[in-house]
Amino acid sequence: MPPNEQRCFHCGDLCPADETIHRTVDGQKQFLCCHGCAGAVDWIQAQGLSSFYQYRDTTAPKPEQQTHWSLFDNLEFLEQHTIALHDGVLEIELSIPQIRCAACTWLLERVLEATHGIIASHAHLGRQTLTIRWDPNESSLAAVLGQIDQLGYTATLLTDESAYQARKTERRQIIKRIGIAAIGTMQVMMVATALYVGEASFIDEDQRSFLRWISLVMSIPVMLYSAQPFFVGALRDLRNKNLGMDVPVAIALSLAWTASIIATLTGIGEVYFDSVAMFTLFLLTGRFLELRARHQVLDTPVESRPMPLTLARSRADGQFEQVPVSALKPGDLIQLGAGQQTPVDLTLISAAASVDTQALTGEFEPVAIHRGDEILAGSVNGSSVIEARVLRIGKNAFLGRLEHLARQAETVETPESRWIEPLIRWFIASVLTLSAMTFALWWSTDPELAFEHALSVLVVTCPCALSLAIPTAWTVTIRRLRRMGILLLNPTHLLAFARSNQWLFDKTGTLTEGQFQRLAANPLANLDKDLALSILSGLEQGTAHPIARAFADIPPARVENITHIPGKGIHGSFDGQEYEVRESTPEEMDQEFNQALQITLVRDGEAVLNVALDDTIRSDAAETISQLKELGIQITLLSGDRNERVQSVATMLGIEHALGQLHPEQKLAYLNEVTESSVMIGDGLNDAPVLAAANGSVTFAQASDLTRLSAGAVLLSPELKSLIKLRDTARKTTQIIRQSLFWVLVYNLIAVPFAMAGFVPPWLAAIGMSASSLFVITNALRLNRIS
Amino acid sequence: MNAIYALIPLSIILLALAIWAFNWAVKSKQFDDLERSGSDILFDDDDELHARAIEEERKRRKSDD
Repeated sequence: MPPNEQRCFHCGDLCPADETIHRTVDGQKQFLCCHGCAGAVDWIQAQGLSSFYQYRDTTAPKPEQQTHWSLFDNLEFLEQHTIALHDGVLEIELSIPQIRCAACTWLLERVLEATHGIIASHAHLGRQTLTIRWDPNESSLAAVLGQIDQLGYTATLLTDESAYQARKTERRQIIKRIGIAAIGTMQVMMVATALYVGEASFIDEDQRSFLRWISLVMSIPVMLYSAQPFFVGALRDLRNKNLGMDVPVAIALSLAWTASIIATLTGIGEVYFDSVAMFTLFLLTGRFLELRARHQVLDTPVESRPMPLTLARSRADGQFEQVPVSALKPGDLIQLGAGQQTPVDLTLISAAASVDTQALTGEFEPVAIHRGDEILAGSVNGSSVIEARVLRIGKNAFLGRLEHLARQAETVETPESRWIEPLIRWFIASVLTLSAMTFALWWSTDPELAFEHALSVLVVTCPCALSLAIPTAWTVTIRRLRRMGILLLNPTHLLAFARSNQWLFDKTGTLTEGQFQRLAANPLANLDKDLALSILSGLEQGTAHPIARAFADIPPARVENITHIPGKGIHGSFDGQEYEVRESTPEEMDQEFNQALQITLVRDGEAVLNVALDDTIRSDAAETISQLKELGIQITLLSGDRNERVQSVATMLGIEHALGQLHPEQKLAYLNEVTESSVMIGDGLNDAPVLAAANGSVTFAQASDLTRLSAGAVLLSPELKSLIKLRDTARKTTQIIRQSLFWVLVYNLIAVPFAMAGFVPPWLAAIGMSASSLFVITNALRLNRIS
Repeated sequence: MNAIYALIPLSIILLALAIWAFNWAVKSKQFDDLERSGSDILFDDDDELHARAIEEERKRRKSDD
């Protein structure tokens, strides 16, 4: 027997109390939780890869067998999802959310390296993907994926393949531009130093001209390649009659560069090659930081139940075969296995079934349905295999319609975009006017200096600080929040998190745990309570029923011959005796919990244990709500659940405003009635439209893809207390951004008059601009240190 | 001082080389995963046990054919 509370060496789960599975790894006896993990350990050892266990810094994923890998050998399917290279070699990039640390990438690559027919493989840690290049004539991708699945790494198709590839290309582009700008700037600056020193020590005219020519040559790649996005952006802005940040940047760059070239050719006037190159490098770095913060969030897949890629469809001869979901048409007869999620809307053909709609509504109690009833996309089959007809597919299915509603809500203007964009336009317009004025005024008095002074105004006011400060603050905040277990998906929501005093909560799964918990277990006959619970756990573990989750923390006993009769109970045998779990009869009930669901364990016809189960309020909910209220935030509870249950939770948590029995549309309508900016916290698919429409929104990692995409932030650990940290961090970030904006204002108010008066030569303007940028960046980086 | 007329153009050639090398590095995906690169150096590329296991696998496959 393993020691009590022994954790599995491979995956870190609890080991069963009554069974010993162990392996010797590097001379040490290690306990394992199941034969799947034991198989994974055996295989890793056989490959000579046991260093994996030294390299890893988190536990490995638990192997769970999937069945339908054959799809990955289907030629038509491969044609759609792979890139064909030379000689019939194919390349595919698959999403593997179980890649958790660098050791996983090492293990996967070593495993694939040893597989016949695999030409190359690369595991990507940031995005959690695996790229495989293989020869389909030599090896079967299905077999390879089955093999790594046994190790616990389950590959699925990328959900946003083309968008992801586009992001990758965009990132590679900008890295190239920055690299070339950096190499160029360093060279130009070196030559510029020689020129400045030469200026003071009477350099030969020949050498001066030579050095200028050299810096001209070195600045060519920086201007023509690295700075390209600014020119392209400025042209696009002008064509759309819009004043973006790119316009003054492009004007300053092209004027300064052209003037420098003329000065080099004629030998008269100043050259600004160093300023131009440095300017480009700084701006690009700001762009890259912003892009990376945005991509990091988009690239992060969150572990969730993947939608099935295939479903079993009935053929003409009555047999069922697996077909890709995209091939299904309304009217097709399909089979849905136990625990399988449906990606399309269905009509039930079997007599009765129970479906788990938690992903849709957040409510965890399974819904009983009968022949002819609809099963909405996103529901999970909680009974054994059922037959159903396809009702609606794709955009018309329930998921598609919710997505449409959420996208519509998202395009609504946020209050901050209403003032920040006109502000930038106004700022840029005044910069351009002031430079033109400077030029005109100096032209009338001293034409030789007019250009230089106008350029100084352009450079000194450059919105560099603005375009660097905000992305830096965002990047730092995103990282900080990530370390706290909060994924910030949309930085614009920070403002609402910091300022909004109207916070709306969903109930089930948000303020409550969203699943059955054991309230009490009372022995009814002479039987050891722990043993009885482990038998109950053993009976429940095989089912997809939500009750089973209430026993997940109890090591299951090895119950044999388990049969599950939907609506009746579960039977099984243990230690030569027959056991059964069913709903409690009124006389067995624990009167203290008569609102709760109660079940009874029966041994050979005698009731031995009664367990009361109910959804419980999260342990930190009351504390979080009261802390939020102390901060002056008004809390409202919006739920689809029955009124009396909503009211009872609201009373327990001290929430004054609570509304029950709301549809998604009604929740959305309530949100639109709130005139102030508001924050919504919810987890169901039915919350998605509200989450998308709110100024700030938060959801949980377990929520479905659509819900997560609609939210501004995701709590990776289900701790409500994180909301306080979120509020706190958001306040600090907006404070830093405000400071930066204030600095930009003060700096410009001082610098512009001097520049217009001609006291600031362009090189000093460039230094001022850089110093100002450095100041705001350092200020933003302070966010890292604030505890 | 005339040395600069030879040495600086030479440095431009080196600059072109540096740009080419950098381009090659980006193209061969070396900048794709900025999170992972830091820990790559900690792992052995030529694990002796693993090499032996691969060798055995190859032999077994040959004898199967």
